[in-house]
Amino acid sequence: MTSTISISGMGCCSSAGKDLQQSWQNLGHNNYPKPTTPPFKTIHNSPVFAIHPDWLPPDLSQFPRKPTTPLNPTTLFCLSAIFDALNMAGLQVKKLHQKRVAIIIGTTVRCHFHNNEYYRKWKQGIEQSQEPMACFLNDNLATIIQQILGTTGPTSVITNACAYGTDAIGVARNLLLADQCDLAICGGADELSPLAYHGFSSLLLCAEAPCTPFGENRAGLNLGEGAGIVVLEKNASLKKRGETAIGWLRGYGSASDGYHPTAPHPKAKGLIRAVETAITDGGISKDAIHFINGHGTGTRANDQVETIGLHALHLDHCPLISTKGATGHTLGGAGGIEAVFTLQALRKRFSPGTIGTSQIDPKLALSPLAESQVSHLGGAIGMSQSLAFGGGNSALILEAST
Amino acid sequence: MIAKITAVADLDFTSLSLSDELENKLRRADLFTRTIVACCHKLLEGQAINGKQTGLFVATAFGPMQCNLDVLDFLVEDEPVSPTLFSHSVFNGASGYLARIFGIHGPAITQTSYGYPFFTALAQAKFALEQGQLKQAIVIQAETYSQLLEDAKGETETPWPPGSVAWLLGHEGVEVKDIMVQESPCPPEERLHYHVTCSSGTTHHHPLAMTLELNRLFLAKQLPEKYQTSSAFGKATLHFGAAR
Repeated sequence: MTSTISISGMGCCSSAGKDLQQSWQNLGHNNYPKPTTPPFKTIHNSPVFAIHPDWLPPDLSQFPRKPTTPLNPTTLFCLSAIFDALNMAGLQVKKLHQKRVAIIIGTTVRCHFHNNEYYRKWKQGIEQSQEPMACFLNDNLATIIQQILGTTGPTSVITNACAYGTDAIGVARNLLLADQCDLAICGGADELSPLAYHGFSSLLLCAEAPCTPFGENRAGLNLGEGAGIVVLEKNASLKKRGETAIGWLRGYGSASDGYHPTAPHPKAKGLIRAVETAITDGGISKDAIHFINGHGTGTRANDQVETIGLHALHLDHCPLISTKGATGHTLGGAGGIEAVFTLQALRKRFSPGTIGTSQIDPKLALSPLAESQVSHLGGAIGMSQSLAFGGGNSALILEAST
Repeated sequence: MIAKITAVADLDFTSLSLSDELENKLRRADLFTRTIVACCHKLLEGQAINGKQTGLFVATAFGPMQCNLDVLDFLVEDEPVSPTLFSHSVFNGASGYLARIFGIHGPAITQTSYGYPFFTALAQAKFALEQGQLKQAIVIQAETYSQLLEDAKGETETPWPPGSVAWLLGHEGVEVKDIMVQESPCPPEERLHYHVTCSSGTTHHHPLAMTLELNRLFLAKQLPEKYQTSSAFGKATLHFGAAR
């Protein structure tokens, strides 16, 4: 271990499980949910991965301050993951009040105004309560979380399309290194929304059947919802409070394709640069990477480009999987959830296969693991990567403690 | 490396005019993207940029809100959403354009808050330069708002002029020494009321105003060593090196 940034706790929730323990058990046993009809009116046929309604709300009793407006699902997912992450880190909320706590969260749905009913009435000039607008103006996810936790420190909502969560963790790491905070709660969260669902459907990116990332007959993604959070601390401060790290954030890299509004660069130029930056930042060689949790959405373009990039980087030796067949594409949540799954795989030295995919596309530049191909991992270092609309690419190098 | 302000630019929405070449590249773009690209174009005039070692740090309070509402129009009418509009309604769509048009291949981080998004983005850019991750950084904020927002504000509040502000950070210019941003929860009406007092003695009433003031001070070589702001939604303190 040479990183100065420890991961002291992590948590997640998605359709794969209400918490990390349940999610990992389900992933390891291929016991994952099937996507279902969206919980809203739609003209499209793509199923979605919705969180089981009984899993909400999380136990909010440990949080000192009650929210002033009703909490939306994204915030509840985020709080649920934070609750688990803080518990794993051995941190009580009141202890946070003695520290400068950065809250850096990625989200997409909660950046948009999407109260259809309010908007419809406004267009018709009908007088109505301003509460939906008040909720929108109170909806900055990082600020709400800060308010509920009662902490002080820098806050930021990263809105980098599908790389939000990954970049949020990278930005939080930078804040710790710059001594802008003592501890960072970071990751991503998003709920299913009609706006995102219809938008992705209009781009012909959604499959009408369960998604099969890296699969031969893959036909697109399924949207999902959830949150993934990690707690970052400097090694010295973690040691000072008598706790041990569950892992380390070794490196972070981010780069732009500068190519197309929605499609990735066909030769993965941005992804290659992002991964190279993360590897250099982590001070490791490519051989040290023993596992890759890919973006693996299940779209033709993403999965092809992602494998082209990893092949060009000579990372063919690493087990590569996608977990989106169990969670769906959770947008803002994806980078956070997948970082959590990556570190968990490294801790257990075990990788599940690519959930939902029985037949890997033989035309891909390298061969990810199919669902039946679980793998024991030969080392403690791995990578989680994200590709995004707008040509963003980001990668995290994570190391599990032994 | 020390982070220094090399150049600044701002763009008043009413002065938004694009060259034929830019117009062609932005033919499908929404107003938010057009505004931010035009401002960046102004910022980079006469500047040498190394695309691989330059990062983009985009800040916004409301993002492409009108485009977002244009997408909602389809939803409330139960019609298929326009894919072009949807892809532009995503907050970081504009940074994709910036990367493509100006050949920038470093990181592109878009972040949003209702308080001090520009200063938060500036802090992230500053760190990236100081750590040697980048040689240059473009920090840019754009706000184009929407009629829905204007109606929520009401007629009694000061209008918010749409526009964009941008800084180029590099190794020449005025040093950005320190940035502290502390945003706080506040009643929603305070966000619309928007009242920020600054150490310069000025009171600001719209989300771009603070950076516009700093631009003006930078160009007049009067950037103060310490600039503080305070509002219902938090406070920020910036320390600069000697103005040149």
